[in-house]
Amino acid sequence: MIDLTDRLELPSDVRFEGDALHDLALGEAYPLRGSGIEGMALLAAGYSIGDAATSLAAQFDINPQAVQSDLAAFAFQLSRAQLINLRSSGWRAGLRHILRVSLFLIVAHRWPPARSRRYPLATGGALAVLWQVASVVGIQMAPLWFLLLVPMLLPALLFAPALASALLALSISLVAAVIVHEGGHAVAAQRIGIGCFLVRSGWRVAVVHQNRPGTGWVHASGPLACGVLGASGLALAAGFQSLPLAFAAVPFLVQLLALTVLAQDGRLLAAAKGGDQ
Amino acid sequence: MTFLRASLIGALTILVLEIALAFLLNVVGESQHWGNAQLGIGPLPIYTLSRIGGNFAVKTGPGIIVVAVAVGILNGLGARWLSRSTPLT
Repeated sequence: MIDLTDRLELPSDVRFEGDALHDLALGEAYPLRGSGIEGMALLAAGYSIGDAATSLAAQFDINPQAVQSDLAAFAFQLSRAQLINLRSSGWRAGLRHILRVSLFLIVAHRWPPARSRRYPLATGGALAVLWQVASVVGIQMAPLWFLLLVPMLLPALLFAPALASALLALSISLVAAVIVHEGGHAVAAQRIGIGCFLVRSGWRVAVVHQNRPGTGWVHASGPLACGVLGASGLALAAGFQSLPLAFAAVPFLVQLLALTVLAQDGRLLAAAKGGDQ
Repeated sequence: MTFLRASLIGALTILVLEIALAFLLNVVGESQHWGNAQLGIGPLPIYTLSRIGGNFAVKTGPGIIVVAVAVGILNGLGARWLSRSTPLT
């Protein structure tokens, strides 16, 4: 969903140099051709899609609507490839977005394709990476998850109010488990010297990294880190007979299921180690 | 090899989760004052919950091995099917 007032932001690990977009995290270069270079230059300079299209149409003396359509499709492709972030501006854009989402829900009975956002990850230590992941998940994602979670937990609280502290621990732990899972991937990727970045799309978040031979541990690291923490938490809970601690350990342990083919990590793990099928 | 590897990973994962579930049942059962019970597949026990005196205990049965192996095989079959239908990359 592209709006003509949208502006383009290049993440700090993506550069537009010469006639190509360079993904510094993944070590890839994407050459641009012809008017794509001109369009990219205008968008990278801060023009909105509509303004850039108007400028290009005047420069090449062609139909502005065709240029708008091409440039919007170009920006959409770059956004899908997680090379740029699109930024809406103004209350009108916000209103249009709400209307679009509402129409999509009414007509198609599902959420519209979510706009993804890329967050570069620092090359510092494990704590710096974890802090970055935590800031994105905690600030951008957690409120939405809690919004979905609270209606499910309220009935449980009505029937078993004594479980309030345990359910609160469970809710907080759900967020913490995602931070540890994605942080585990990012730290493992950096340890073996491959670049990575964080992507948020709708209610989902994931670390994207280079996928080359020998990256099996990177796929396994997220679920395993959660499993170790969850098992430790549960052992402590059994020792102290603490119900909130036991509930808090559950989301961490459930992340172990990501090692199976039910999840992308498990499938990539099979592929990363395999290749003999 | 993909089948064997995925089966092993799946079985180990489920085994760890089943053991973890035993700890969880122990904590919950103790705090909620549960009585005696047995969870299993037919005659094959997975968990045996018992309260002897004031202490609540959870014992795992041979069923956890059966469940882990079954899920492991399913995971292996799933990995093989996925690797044939779509490249696992």
